[in-house]
Amino acid sequence: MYKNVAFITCPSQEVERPPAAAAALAGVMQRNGVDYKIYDLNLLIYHTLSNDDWLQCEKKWRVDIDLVLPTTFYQWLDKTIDNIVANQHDLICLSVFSKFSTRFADILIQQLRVKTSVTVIAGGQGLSTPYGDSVFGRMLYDKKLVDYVVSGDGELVFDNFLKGIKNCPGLNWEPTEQIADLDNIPYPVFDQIEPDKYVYHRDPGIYITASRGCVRKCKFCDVPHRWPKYRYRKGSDVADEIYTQYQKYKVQVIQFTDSVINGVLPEFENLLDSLIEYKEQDSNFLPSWLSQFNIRRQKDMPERFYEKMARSGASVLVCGVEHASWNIREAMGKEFNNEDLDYHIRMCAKYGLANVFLMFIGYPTETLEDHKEMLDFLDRYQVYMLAGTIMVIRWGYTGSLDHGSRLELHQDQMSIVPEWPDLKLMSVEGHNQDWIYGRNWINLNNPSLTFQERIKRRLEVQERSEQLGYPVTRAREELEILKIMCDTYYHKKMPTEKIEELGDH
Amino acid sequence: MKLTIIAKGIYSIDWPKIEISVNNQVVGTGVVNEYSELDFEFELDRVENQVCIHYINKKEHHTVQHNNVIISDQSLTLIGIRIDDILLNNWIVTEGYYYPNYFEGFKEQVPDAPKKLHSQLIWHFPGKFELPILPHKDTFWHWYRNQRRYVHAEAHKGKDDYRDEAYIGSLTNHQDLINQIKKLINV
Repeated sequence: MYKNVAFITCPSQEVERPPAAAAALAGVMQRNGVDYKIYDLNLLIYHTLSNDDWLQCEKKWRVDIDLVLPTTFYQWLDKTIDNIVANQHDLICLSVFSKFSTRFADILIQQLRVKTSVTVIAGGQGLSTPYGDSVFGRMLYDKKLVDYVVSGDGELVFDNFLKGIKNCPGLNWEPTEQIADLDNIPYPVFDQIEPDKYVYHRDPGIYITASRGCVRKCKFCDVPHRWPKYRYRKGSDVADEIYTQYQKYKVQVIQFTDSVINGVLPEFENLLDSLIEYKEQDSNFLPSWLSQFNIRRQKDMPERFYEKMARSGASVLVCGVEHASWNIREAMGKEFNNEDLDYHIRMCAKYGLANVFLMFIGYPTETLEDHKEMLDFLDRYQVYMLAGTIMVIRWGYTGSLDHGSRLELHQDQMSIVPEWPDLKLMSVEGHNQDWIYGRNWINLNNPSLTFQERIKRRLEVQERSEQLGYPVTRAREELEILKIMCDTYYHKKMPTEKIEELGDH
Repeated sequence: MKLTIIAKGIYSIDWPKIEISVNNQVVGTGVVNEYSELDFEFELDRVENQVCIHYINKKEHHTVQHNNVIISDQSLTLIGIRIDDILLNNWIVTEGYYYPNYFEGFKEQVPDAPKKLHSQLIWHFPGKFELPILPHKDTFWHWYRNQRRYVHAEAHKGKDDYRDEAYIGSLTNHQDLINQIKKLINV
């Protein structure tokens, strides 16, 4: 049906590696015999604009909607759109990776629509970013800026779409359906987005998917909402893919897109063993992989796992530690206690595995004692930070009731109510909704944890971690977003006619 | 403090044997098998400390020849180092120097053989391996972190700082911004 497809990747994303969605869907297009051209505008804008102009754009996409974009951006966008239109594509795919891609996507699609009426299909997590009284993707669709919207596993929906099946799950707000067998989807194709053209730190790399969903159902997390079932591939098949891609594209760095790489331990061990076997067979094959990782109970993760992880090339584990207090983690639905956490960090230190700790300050049940434990934890773990076992720590934006999370869905049962029932926010720009969404709450069983108190604690961990020398990733960006949130809550709330009422979300 | 030497040896007549010294004081010896992790107690109690690994038992007769063909040869490979059970980055060993004590026969064949070798981790001659000068134990991990970040910065010169900061994290103080937010929320 479609013979000449344009696939557009929207900033802002990492420019470290080729975008995962473009590579995955290139595989689907190739399998369907469709000609395509990938326009990785994320990389293109990085290379085209001066560093200052690019930073200005990044700040607009990621933090401050009010920033004025540089003239060079509009000149570049104009030329880029003309180029896309000149290639007479019969379908344009818009990949909106995350909430940080929506602001660019909004500008792009509006300008694109002026110059072409070709069919546009949009996909990506960014589409479910809160926007106005709904989500960003809904706004694009309702305004007829796009013709089709993909939700859920893109490979499945796009495959159906290319085959002409338009009433399939996941297309235009039809309920989604998870891919049953991840081994059945084609390998990602990087022919047009070669890994060595990206701005990598050590070596060129690619993304690979070994699983989707998560084995845990943490109450703050929306992953179980997006992928109700944990689907995983055979470890040996994943290793086969890694080795095949290494031979084809000479890539040794692998970033797993998984929410958790070690969800099913026998299959995880199978992956590690298979990678070690490939390394033993080919001395030039020296993979280095990073992934989100589930800290498990010590009894479930004996030392041999850590030893094999190191031998198979594990370099960075991104771990949702969330909080130092076991009370909080238990309330969240985490299963590792403090001894398990100590064991994990000891093992990582022993085998040279670096960790990114993702933290969550201001969970609804967090008490002052929990918060003190969090601050003490930073002292206790300082040596692991200095040693690099804790590579960076990320504090986030304080407790929010994310769309689709159990916290949001079950707030009544948890005695969570709006902190300001009558709060109305004056003219919150659509794109700033995500910072505001889900933060007007208070737990009646823990009423001292107000919005103000959550922000105060968040600032205290920032101060303590800076004093102790913890490297904090995207610290300024997160603080600037917190500032926008606070400014909105404290200075833009007024009972006026227009406006978004947070409790209605 | 605990020092762990991770090494592998190749057997010929017997296994390689090492001795550890800190500031010229021997703190222990150990035999290296196919794969060994040998623990030593030591202290870094000076402002500057020299830790050395001595390969002590290899003699010419450990290189066994038959009809001028080497049929077995004892050797030692340094794999890594842990301090207090924390594996140190590889640069801590690759920054070191190996001072081989060449055998007389070898010196005759290769009179200009270098007196010291940088980053040499596979040793076929007895000798000593000097680690970089290490600081006092109280400042060791801070020193190590600074070195680690310096090595990263050197390796990634030319990358834009913004992206690099997202990658390795920032040590910048943000008190100005923190104070602005505090003011906004009246705390």
